[in-house]
Amino acid sequence: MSRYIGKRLVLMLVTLWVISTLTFVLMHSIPGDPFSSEKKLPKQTLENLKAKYHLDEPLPVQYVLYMKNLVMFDLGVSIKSETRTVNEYISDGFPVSAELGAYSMILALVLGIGMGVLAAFRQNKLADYNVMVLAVLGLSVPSFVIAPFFQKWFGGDWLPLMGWGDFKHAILPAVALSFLPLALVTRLMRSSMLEVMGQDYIRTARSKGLPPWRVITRHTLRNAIMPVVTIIGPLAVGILTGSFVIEHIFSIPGIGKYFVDSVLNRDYSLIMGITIFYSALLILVNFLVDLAYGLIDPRIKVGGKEAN
Amino acid sequence: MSKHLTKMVALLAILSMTFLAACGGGSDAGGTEEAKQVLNAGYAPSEPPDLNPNTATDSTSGFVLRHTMEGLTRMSEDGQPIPGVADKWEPNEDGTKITFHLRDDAKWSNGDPVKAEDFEYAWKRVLDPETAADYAYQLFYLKNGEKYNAGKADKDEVGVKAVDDKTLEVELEKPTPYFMSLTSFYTLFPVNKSVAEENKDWAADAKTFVGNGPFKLKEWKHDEKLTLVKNENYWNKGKVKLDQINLPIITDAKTGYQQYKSGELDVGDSTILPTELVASALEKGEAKSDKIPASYFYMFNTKEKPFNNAKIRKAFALAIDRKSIVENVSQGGQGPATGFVPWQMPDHAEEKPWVETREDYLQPTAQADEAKKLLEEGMKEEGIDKLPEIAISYNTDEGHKKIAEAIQQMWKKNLDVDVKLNNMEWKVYLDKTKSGDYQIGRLGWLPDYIDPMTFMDMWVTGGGNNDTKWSNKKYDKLIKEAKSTDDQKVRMEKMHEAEELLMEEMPIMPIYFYTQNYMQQDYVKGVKRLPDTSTDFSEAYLTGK
Amino acid sequence: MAIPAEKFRRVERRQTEAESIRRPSVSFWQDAWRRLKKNWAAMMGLYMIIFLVVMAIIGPWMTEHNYYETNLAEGKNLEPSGEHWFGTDELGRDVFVRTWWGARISLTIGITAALIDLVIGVIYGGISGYKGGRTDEIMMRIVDVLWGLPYLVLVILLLVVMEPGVFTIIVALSITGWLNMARVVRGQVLQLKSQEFVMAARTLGADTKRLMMKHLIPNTMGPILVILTLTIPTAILSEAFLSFLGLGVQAPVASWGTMITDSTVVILTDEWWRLFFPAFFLSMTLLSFNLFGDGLRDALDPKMRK
Repeated sequence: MSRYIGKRLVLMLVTLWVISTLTFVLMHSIPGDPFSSEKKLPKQTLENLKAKYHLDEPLPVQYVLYMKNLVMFDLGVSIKSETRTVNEYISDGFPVSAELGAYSMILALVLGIGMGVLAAFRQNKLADYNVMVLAVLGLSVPSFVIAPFFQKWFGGDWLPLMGWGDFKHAILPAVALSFLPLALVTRLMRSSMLEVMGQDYIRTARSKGLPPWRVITRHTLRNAIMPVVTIIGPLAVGILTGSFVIEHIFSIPGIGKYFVDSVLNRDYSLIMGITIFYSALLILVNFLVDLAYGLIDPRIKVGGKEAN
Repeated sequence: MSKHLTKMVALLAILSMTFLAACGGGSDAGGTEEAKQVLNAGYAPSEPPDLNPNTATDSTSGFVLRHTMEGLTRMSEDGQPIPGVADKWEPNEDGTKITFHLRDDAKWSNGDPVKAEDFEYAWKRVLDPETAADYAYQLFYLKNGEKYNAGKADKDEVGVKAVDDKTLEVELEKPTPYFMSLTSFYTLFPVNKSVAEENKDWAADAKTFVGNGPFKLKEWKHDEKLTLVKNENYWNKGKVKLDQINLPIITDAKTGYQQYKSGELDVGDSTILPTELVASALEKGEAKSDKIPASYFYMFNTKEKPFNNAKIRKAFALAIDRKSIVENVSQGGQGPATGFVPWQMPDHAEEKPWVETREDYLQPTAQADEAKKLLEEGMKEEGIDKLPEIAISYNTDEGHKKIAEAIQQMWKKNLDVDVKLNNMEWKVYLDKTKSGDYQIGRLGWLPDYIDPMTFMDMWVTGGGNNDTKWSNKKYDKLIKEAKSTDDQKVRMEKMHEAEELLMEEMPIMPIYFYTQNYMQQDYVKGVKRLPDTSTDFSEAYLTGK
Repeated sequence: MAIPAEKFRRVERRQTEAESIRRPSVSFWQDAWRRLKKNWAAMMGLYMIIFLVVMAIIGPWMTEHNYYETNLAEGKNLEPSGEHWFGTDELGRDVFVRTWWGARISLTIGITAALIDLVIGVIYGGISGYKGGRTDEIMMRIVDVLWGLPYLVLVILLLVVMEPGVFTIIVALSITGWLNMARVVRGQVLQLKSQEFVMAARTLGADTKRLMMKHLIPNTMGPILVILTLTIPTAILSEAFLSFLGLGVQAPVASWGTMITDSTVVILTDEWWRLFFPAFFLSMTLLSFNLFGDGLRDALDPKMRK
């Protein structure tokens, strides 16, 4: 096992290196540069700016320079805001996004698993259809529509419309953010519950006379949760690193909006920094998901011998 | 400005100060703790990326800097320079040298006196190639300013010099009548030299930030909010009645609008007024609209067929109904463009608005018949009987899209021409227009300084912003002549002539003149909205909130 | 009572018969269809899908209006009426026609994107999970790389090399759309391949292809359908974002995505119809696919065959 983990760690670093190299190449090949704007800068000023951020050097030189700093965990200075380092962006914004994301994830998981189980047990009954309609709304009404409605209905007197601070500020955005994962978890849970409930060992357990909730917790849930676990990994990373739309609408000082803003501004160092940070988390979480497989179902062997 | 007038202004200032101080004292005595004047302002649509005046370029940073710092002059509501840190100044005979006298009581928020060398230091730092300031060109008017920025002149040769602590001598490359209007702009603000030399990141944090304006920066929570409080060290603090300005960062205008409606905000600009709501807000009287000297227009790529032909360009320009666009599409109180130089831009020779001293080159409604005729003539000149496929390029934005859709239909109706629309991401759009990979593109232009020249010199041959690639020797000559004199009469005459030529050749097609829309609760008073589109709260106050 | 050995006859074993179930020869699909027909919810979903598709085809021609003509002077923001069934938008264009014109684009994009995700995601995930070991390791790291790359950068790059339009949108959506599907299918296959029935089938001589198509994939159908029904609305709404960047269909052509994006402001005003109709039919699309999908899953579920 430890050998497998060691191998995976090495592979993770390689993946991260591939991602950062590709990102570096790709972002320099899209049109536009950090300094282009409606009012074009004089040629001289542009040259000064490029020299300041080493953008006048050939790309390979820039690449080596960047990688050298990266090894020292120095992600550089944002081009758009020369007084803030990329590390600061992440250390300021990520905790906020992560806190908000954690609330949404908890909400989505608890409610989603509950509703999914309920729907499965009441398959093709009223409760099932109600849950489905909820889920459909969650999937098809985008957050940029839900959020303003929330603000209109609940914002103002009851809850703050925007901003960040105490828990009250987190309620509306967290609920709005949880809609999509909630719908997804609910639907996945329902479908794999149905799958598992048809299996022989569940019938056996039932016919043994086990109370239904024991059947659910001991046998069904454990086997049905696989797809949810799989999808949770990337979903959680996406949500914990912030949502562009939600942070934008509620003016939340998280990291999410910089995934979009950094690219629109062609803020090269910020694009790189955020991509690497996000990818590292993602790779790590996917690794944990693979480990979790083994815990949930001991028959699964990830990284075992190749089948023929 | 004559010495007389300066004295008058100073006297008036002192008088009103005493008067207001008396009033203020009165209300203070009677008021309670609640009477604290706190303004919640919606002026920050994003985090200010940079609060160092040397390198700041965006509107949020600009708002903070204008309130926490002060230049040699401030701008009056009619666009004239009024005393700021400098209480008087005198230009020499030919207008190439200006001597500024700094007031004795000008102080930094940390108590240091504001010295002439703080200006010299700041300006030279703006021009320093290593600083690589975007707005360095705002100081290219200084003698050797541009050369120093290009690394072709020495720092000591730059035309700004602190003669003593309170006297600043500025030497210009050539007479520049609008230079004085630039001295209130934030790129020309001073920087506390001793603070900045000790800590180059002094502007990165509220704790180390040192200003010399009516307010000081008390708190700066990234991506969240900024708090400004009254600066007790400000020389004119008697006039400052607000104790605090809260500046929450509001990234979504629709959210900002609701914040305002729920009473969380007292005042705000487009940060809290989404484009789509402007029309209804103006109608309901929630919002007000100020004309500003800015132009919205389409430019033609004159190097490509069919827009290499002036008649065809003109045909397209005449075939749109500008009145209908401002009344039904943009709906923000904008005015149909009758020429290129927008309203609110003064004609310095006649002391009247520019738009009143020129004829209307364009009619508000479409001139369909004339347009059709011109199009036919133009096509004959080019020897074509069918137009190639034409597309309007624009950067994605709800407002731009609506206007493009409306214009597309107008051209269809009035010229029977099918035009495609092509939207794209902002920086891709900039890249395409710059490299000439477009046919018709849109642009909005705000002035750098209050003079028609900021619009007119765009279209000279090879001009950095001339993406139309239009080139006209006569036009170049007129602009050059206007630039080489400080005789306002000659300058204005040449520029009028140039504009007429521009509207004859039509490399660009003006659409509307901008407005600035804002919302302000009735209890907010004393706000100054300046011609350079900025808003000044230094003398604002709340009454009966 | 002993039975003499000669009374026994050896059964010829053929792979296809190895695990065949003796009952009236109803093919798998016939059987599925029979059960689907009995499921009223699924059939309702199917009828709704047919309705949407038919309306997308004929809807734009049902009135005398078209999707592009503006009526700036007096036709802006009219509420639904006999003249304009779904009202008009901020430039005086008929929302009914725009909605059904948009349906063409949005349904095409949603369904195509889902199909592409299905094909790539299931095959990729299936192979990765089934093969396991080093192949799995490499294939999943490729997924990680695609997931980690800044999508926006990829899409802007696409903008440079391709002409805007529906096809470009579908390409853009296909770059990363299938990753979720691949991960989920791989996870399911990893779990299933160690279960008894798979071992049994393998022991009985089923080859890889047959194992995948007849045993592993059908048993993963539930999650696959859920992910698919997630892909459809995501694709339809992502189209609006991609159009924002300039990849999509060009104005004045509308899609549900752009209609919804452009009209969120009506939440603060009174012109509800501009947002309601595209959003309603988007939800209806999704509901119908979910109802139908659930029914299909039940119908295809081998364990539920009676």
